[in-house]
Amino acid sequence: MEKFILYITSKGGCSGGLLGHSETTSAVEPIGIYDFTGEELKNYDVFLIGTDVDQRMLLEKKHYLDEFLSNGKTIVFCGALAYPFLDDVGQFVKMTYTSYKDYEITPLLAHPVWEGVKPKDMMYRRGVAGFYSRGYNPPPQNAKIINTLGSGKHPIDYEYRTKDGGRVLVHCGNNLWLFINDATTAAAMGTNLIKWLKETK
Amino acid sequence: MSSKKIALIESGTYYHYFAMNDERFVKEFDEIIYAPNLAKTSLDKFDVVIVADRNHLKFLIENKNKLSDFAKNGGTLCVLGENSVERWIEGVNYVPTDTNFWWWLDPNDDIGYKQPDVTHPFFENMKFQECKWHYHGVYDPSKNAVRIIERLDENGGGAILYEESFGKGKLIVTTLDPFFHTGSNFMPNAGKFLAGILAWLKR
Repeated sequence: MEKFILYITSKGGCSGGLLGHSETTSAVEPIGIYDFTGEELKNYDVFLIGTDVDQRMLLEKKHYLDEFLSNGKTIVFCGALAYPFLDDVGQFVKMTYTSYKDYEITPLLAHPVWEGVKPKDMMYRRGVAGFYSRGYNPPPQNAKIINTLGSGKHPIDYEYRTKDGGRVLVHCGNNLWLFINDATTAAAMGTNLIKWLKETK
Repeated sequence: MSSKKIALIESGTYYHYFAMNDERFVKEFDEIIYAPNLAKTSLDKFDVVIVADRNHLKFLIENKNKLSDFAKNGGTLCVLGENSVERWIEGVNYVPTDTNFWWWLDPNDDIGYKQPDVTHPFFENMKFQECKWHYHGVYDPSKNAVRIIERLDENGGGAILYEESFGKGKLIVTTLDPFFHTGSNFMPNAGKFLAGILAWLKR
């Protein structure tokens, strides 16, 4: 598979198994945040941003991200937005926790990335809730909300188009591929993501 | 109120941002030093420099002499967890361990700490219980070090938090990572620990 995805990480190495998994590794080129100039984006269709990255540095390179999106390309961001490197997304709002039900996930829209994934497998790992998401990055008005969290129906997974035609998929929590080696249906999010990106790039 | 001047070194991640801007902590730091700017920032005016947990190692290694010299010249250097401190401060002996993320799921289990000397000033502002979520390895410090939190000998021993003299100053090292967990809104004890260690550092 052609490496059409540039995956920015804090260390340039493996995170959560995406680069070690047989179904995904051949599509993904990793780069460390401090090696990233922005120019590299010209060679890729998808920019994958994981949760641990230095967002302040990403903000400094924002014009490269904007240009990438204006060319109709795709950004996938997993994490809590602290610095405004995506124009249309608000800063992370942490949720108020009152019971385990606040971690319950409600799918609103079928999406290929979550195909075959049971909400309870997203909600629990080893019986513990809260790994998937613990708050949300407020989405733009035109976002298609895929999954919500808790009784507040916080939008935690969504996809939107930027005004000049770029595509953005946001997951407000740990990397979707964190679960890729789990023995539950949650493992499919990582492989589904790469498959969906390949089919729709 | 102490007049100690405290600098915090952070790496621009979401967990650094949300922990240092948490209303409990936002006024605690006299200066925030973004790790890529550390090389061009003087540490001379600070009494305490805190290296937030899970900083980017590149900048800590590039500035190792600056950080060591700060402590050797009389400052207090506090290095929080997951910073591979043994790679950039001489004399730090790190011992990796398996991390038990799940001990609290078993009502009969415990994190495996030794009962500490709670008369140590560190415990003036916090409860021992608040130091418990999970640790990432232990240290085997010199005999001169004061071991503030230790692992039980039957679990292999080692220090989870210790302090020792370093030149004219002091080194404080821990394998706990309170910024990550506070900024991730996960593990409430991490925020209590951070409040406690800041109160101690400001004394």
